[in-house]
Amino acid sequence: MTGNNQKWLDNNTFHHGEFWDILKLVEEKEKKGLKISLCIPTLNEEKTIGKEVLILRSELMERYPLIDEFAVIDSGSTDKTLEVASNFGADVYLASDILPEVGDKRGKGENLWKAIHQLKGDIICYVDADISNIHPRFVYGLVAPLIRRDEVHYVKAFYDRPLNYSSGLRSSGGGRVTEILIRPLFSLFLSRTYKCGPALIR
Amino acid sequence: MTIETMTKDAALESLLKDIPSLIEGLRENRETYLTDAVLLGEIPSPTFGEEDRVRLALDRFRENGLDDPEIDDLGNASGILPGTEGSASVLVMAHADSVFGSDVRHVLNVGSDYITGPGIADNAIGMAAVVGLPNLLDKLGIHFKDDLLLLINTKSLGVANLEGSRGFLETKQRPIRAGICVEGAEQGRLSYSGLGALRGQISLKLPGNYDWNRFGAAGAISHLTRFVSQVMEIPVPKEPKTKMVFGAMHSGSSFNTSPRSGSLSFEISSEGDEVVDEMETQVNELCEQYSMETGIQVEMEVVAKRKNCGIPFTHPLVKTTRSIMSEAGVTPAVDPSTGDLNSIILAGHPGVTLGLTSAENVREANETIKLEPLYSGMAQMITLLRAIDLGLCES
Repeated sequence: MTGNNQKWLDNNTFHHGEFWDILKLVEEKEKKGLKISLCIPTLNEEKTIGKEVLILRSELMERYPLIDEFAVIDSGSTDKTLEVASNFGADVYLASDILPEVGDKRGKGENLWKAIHQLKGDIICYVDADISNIHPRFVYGLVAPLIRRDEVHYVKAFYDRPLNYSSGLRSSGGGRVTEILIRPLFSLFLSRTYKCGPALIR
Repeated sequence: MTIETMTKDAALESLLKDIPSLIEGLRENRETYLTDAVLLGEIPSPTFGEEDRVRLALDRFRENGLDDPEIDDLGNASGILPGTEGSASVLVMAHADSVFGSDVRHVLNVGSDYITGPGIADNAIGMAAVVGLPNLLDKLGIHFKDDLLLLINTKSLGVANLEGSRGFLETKQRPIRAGICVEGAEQGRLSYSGLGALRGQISLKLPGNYDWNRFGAAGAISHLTRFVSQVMEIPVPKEPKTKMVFGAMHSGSSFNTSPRSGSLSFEISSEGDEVVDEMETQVNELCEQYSMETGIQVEMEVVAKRKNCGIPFTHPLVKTTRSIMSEAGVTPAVDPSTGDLNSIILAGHPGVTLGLTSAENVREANETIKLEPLYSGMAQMITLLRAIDLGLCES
């Protein structure tokens, strides 16, 4: 790794623990006049979506108004995903109902890009629907660098993650998107000077 | 006329009429305490290993509006919600420990009308009800004259022998008007007495020079089962009501090796203290006899013992609780307690244990609570607190 890359990594890698003071984050957000939308893309996630909506909405909308809009964008679940999400207060949308004139190509990517059209926030935070150990840090860790540093426009989370596969649980080996795609992609950007850029959150 | 100036009967009637709107208010504000239940419940908290969960309970006390909660030397978390007068306290408590070890994956799942996962009923939702009270009461616009003394206690279950609650009440120098123990299940449960009980552990060990060729020689498992058969011969009286339960047996580790040691955990509970004493003597004598006749070391250790205690069925606290349950459409199921209620009553305070909701598969990995009955259970608890605060539960 080059010295510049390491320096960049050191300056642009954060830990969610740095942003524990959610009240302060809310104040900073409001001072800048920012609105934040949280989007969870789903397809048949009734087992986990209830807990995610409950905890994130309770802590980050009711208790601390960090999030202004909470949406589930669904690919056509056949289970009770939408019922459960709606029950706990999320706005629910079918991806196929958003911009129907451009057609639909079912998949997580469609849910993500259509959220940009549908949601009103200046910042959009995406969280997966199948996280069994969901906690508010999954959200405030991601949005905090975007609130605090105007030059940061994209934040990607990474962690030491156990890999849940067919025969059981491996202690590490998850985070493949980060290691195989994102890091090499960032390295390509870092070869040039940019006024705005990405950050990594641990 | 305010509720404070009404006669006792009129005041109680007024509280009972409020129950339906209270249920509705609790349903509308459910996110806070359901979130507390999930966050707390996903931290393992076996007896003697409750620190992490109690630390979170302390944080949640602060988040929910308590100014200065603390953790004592026994690991209990507590705090005071000041009343308008504060001349006495009402104790509301829930135990933090569960039967699940740290090796069990504590993942809770939330559905539209349920939460499922290890320990949610016993006692994550009970803890959440206590931890969330300051926030809830504020949102519901309910204020008390008395202080509310809120306690998340440790070391309630099994061999711990209520050490957390006993120690807290021994050291807490505050006048306590009454106490409520909060359990996740079962709604309708009404405990106002504590059973006399003895919890014992039998250990059985073959000597080093055990003669495997002698008549009747066998491994520890065979001896344990023979011993259990003999213990089951001890007469268990119907009156006073008495029960003996064999809770756990451990021995051996492989298919083809006779184990040399084993243990048996049991509980004797009875409405008669003298019956518990007599059965303890008989089990001890059986241990001695078996040891002498077989050459095997059999010993009993008493890990917990307590006497009967309680308040009368006619006590105003019990009568008021029954009225509240009846108004909520719940038939009380009287159930003597072997839990923390004993500590409250033995410390000289009137107390009851309430269950909040209905549950299935209690103490199994897929333990499940229902959410709809929970709002009524919470309303019953808060109405009882209001009644105590108004002086309606005093003899």
